[in-house]
Amino acid sequence: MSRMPAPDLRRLHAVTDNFFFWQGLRWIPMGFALMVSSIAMMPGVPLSKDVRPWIGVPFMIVALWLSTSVLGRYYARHFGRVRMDLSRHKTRTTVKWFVVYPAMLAAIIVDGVWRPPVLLSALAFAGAVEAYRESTGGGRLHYAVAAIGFVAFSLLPLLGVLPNGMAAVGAVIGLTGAVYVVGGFLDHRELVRILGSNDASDVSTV
Amino acid sequence: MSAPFEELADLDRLVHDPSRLAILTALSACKSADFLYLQRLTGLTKGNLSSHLGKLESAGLVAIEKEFIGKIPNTRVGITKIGRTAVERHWKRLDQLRQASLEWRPEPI
Repeated sequence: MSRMPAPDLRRLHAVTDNFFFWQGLRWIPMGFALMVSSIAMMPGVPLSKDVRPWIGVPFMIVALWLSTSVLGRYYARHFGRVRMDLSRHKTRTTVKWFVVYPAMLAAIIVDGVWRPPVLLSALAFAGAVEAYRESTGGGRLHYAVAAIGFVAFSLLPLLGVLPNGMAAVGAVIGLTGAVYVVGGFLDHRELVRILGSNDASDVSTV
Repeated sequence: MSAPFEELADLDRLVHDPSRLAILTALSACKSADFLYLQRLTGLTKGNLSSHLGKLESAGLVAIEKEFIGKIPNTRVGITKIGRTAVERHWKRLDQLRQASLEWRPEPI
């Protein structure tokens, strides 16, 4: 494809190309669910070990329902519908499933089992957040800030601020939830800015 | 060689119009988008957007389909192969013009 001349056109192209990902409110419920899961994993929480891993599950089910059904309808009604061209994102999908997710999982296992002084999961999540930002249209500097936050977080066990191991992984998941919530809110604000805040009707006159 | 400003006249006016260029640029990034999305994206009124889409459809650059989602009518617009080629050629041409205008020096009088 040729380069586009104007930054505004590039932005229109990027938003349309990644419309689903820019619907920020969709990510907020999942962020809260991740934060609940994280809190449940904290050592001081009075829950039995058998229950802890499952506390977040009902929250995630509700979050998924809110995200796909309620908020999906909200975006369709107020911002319209875009059918993604999946063939444009083969590389992103491949890298996501065969590089990013396995790296995140491997880092969590390493942190949980071998307890290295630097949180590898936080570093992996930092890379994932930055890859997400880049591959879904760029811009949105809040994700770059979040990635830097994850890198800083990875050093906390080394500095003696946070114990390493699964408790630290739980904290990383909580931080991920917070990134979902704040990032989602800011993405939505950006989408409203680009698509205008005026309400339009979805009945066309063509 | 003609000045870049003279070459501007050679641009495809159908595609070069800012609203139509925005519509085609957005549609080149997806399979299809509905009328509401394009209206939000371009900030055009319904009538203006309909008029632009009508022109693009007449030229074969976009295809328009109407359907009902529940009881609500929905107009879906997708870019055609001709439309994709036209908008890509247009970006290329604008890039060339931009480059030419940077390199252009007026002839001494």
